[in-house]
Amino acid sequence: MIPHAAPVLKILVVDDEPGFRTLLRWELEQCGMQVETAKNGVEGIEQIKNARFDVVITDITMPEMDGLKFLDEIKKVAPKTEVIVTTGFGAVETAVHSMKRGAFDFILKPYDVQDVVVRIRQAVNTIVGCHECGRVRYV
Amino acid sequence: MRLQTKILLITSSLVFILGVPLLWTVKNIVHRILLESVVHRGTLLVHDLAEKAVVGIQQNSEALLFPLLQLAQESSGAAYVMVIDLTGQVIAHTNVAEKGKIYRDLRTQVALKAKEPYIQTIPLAEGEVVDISIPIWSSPQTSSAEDFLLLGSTEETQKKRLGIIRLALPLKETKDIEFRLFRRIAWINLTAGGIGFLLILFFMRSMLRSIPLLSHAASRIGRGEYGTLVPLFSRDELGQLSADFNRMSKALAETTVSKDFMSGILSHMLDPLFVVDKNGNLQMLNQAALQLLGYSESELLGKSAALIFLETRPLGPAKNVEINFLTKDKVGVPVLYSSSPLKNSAGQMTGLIGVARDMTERKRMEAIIRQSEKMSAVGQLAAGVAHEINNPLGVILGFSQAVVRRLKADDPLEMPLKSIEKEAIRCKNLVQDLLTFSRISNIEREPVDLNRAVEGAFSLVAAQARIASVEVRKELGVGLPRIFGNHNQIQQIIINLANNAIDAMENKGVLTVKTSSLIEGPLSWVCLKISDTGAGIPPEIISKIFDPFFTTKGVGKGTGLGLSLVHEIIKKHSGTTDVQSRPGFTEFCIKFPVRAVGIAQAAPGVKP
Repeated sequence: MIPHAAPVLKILVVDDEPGFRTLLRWELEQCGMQVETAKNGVEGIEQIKNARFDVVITDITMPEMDGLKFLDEIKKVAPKTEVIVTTGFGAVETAVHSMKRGAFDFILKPYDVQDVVVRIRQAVNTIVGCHECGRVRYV
Repeated sequence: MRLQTKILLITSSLVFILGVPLLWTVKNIVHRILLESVVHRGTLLVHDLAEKAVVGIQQNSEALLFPLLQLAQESSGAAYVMVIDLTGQVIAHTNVAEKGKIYRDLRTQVALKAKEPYIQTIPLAEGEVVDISIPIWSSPQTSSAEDFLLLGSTEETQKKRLGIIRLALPLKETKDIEFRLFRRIAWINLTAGGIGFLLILFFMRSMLRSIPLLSHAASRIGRGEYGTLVPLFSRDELGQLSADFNRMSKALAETTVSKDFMSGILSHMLDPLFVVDKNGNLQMLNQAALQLLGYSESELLGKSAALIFLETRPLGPAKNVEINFLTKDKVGVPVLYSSSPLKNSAGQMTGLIGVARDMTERKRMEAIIRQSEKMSAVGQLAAGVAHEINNPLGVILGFSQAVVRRLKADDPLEMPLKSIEKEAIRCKNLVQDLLTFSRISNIEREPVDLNRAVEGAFSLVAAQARIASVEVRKELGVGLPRIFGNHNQIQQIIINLANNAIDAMENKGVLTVKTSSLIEGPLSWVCLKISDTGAGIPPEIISKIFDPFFTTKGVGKGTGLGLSLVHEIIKKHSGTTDVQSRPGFTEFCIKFPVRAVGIAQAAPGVKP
């Protein structure tokens, strides 16, 4: 049961790896979020231009447009949209770069999806527990 | 026998051979002259007596004769004087006891018949005497004694033999003179001989003194000390010989490489060398060869060369062939072998000279490098694979975690799903290690304070140690210079080594982390030592501990990449790793070089 007070969060998942897109879509939808996916930065920007998203979760290493450049584009098009950056190369430098460019958080792959959910909630500053996850819901 | 002795002996015998006959001849001549003078005196006396004794003998009167005889004896000092008639009866004798005796001895018989003076030397008890007897004739002789002596006696028919008169003059005086003379000559001879002997000795010494020097120098040259010179003492043939010798020695020194020098080179050559004769027997081996093979020289000389080769090979020319020698302990030693035939001046093969280079160390190094390269390649490959696996694995792990979290109580799928999650986590750890491995090369570096890195890693280490009930100690050096490197990676080293140490101690023991600075000649290092009191690393695996995927931990406990990662990081930091291990103590000592930049800005001391 999703309370009225809690708005449905719109999430855009951008990853060139279909497996991660599927994983996050499934998990986040289980948590009552509305999920769109894109397989690179170019597609992602198109979607952001067409619709408003609360949080974008993007991979860094992607063809056509990489995550950091995509991050810059998002900040231009939709500055209010929070971005969570994920990468398989957990270097501190990358994390620092991302944060400097305005990312909300940085998650190392492979991640526990629960972790992603928590970060999204932190990003939108509305900690709403997902009953599916057996968590207490805060409003 | 020495040359000097020989010459002296020859000279002495010459003196002897010449001197003795000379002495003898002189003695004989003197004897004859003296005897003749005695005889001459006696003959004159006897002749005079014979004239005076005619009357006495005709009257057979001893009284007439005796004073005559006694007078003659006194004046001449004769031993005896006697008158004998034709029958041999002594008419008168200076020794009265002899009077009337009849002499029938041969001497008397001959004298009685002789026409000339009969002279004989007779040995008597009191000494040798010369006995002179002349016949007494009836009428006085007209001729003088000199005529008689010179012309001999010519018996005149009118004369009648009456008897003989005999006079014996002692030769003692003659003998004395002879002896004195002989003694003087002999003395002169001996003195001259002695002086001559000394002179010869002196001259020979000075003449021959170059000979022992030459001999000594020649033997030195024989030993290979070319250039040995002798001093020049004279300008004679020996001096010439010495000069020639010196020339030869100089020429040898200039043109010949000394045997000493050559054998020195051969025996001190670092590479093994041996010489085989044409029958294939070992003729010579240098020190390096004996050392490599483990034999003593006497054990191999004259033995077949096949003894030292592991593979049977024909003895012929070879160049840089990789073969194996066989040591005394029957162990093969890899060598790089070259050989070439030895030929005499006629071009016939007299043997073979073989040189080898011990390749054991090089082979070992090659193996290490090969292994290291192999491992590095394996590591890089694995890292590449890991990169590709990371994403699908992330999806598997993500879904399994998502599903496991949503399991209801008593769900029959709980066990299989949890297993999938657990195994996926295992894979994730492995992949993370592999990815770290591949990321070592491209990192950012900065001056790092090792003590700060230790402090940072220590909270994590201490937490794990607490779980494993292991005591941790930290001994940080003060004022360490900074090293140029990556802080995270250095912490990774500390964490990995500490984790290994904690695992090795099985819930009891002490883990010590030490830092210090070290100056080794021109090099300056910062040391990190991590030691434990665990079981230790068995010697047979100590060489493998840094190999990727080598692990002694149980399945699922370790990836086998921890130490490999440590090793890679240290290598990328130009550091060195030393491992000491025995049961109860294992220490990893890591040294990072301090570059000039690091020395300039020493880190503030961190109190442990």
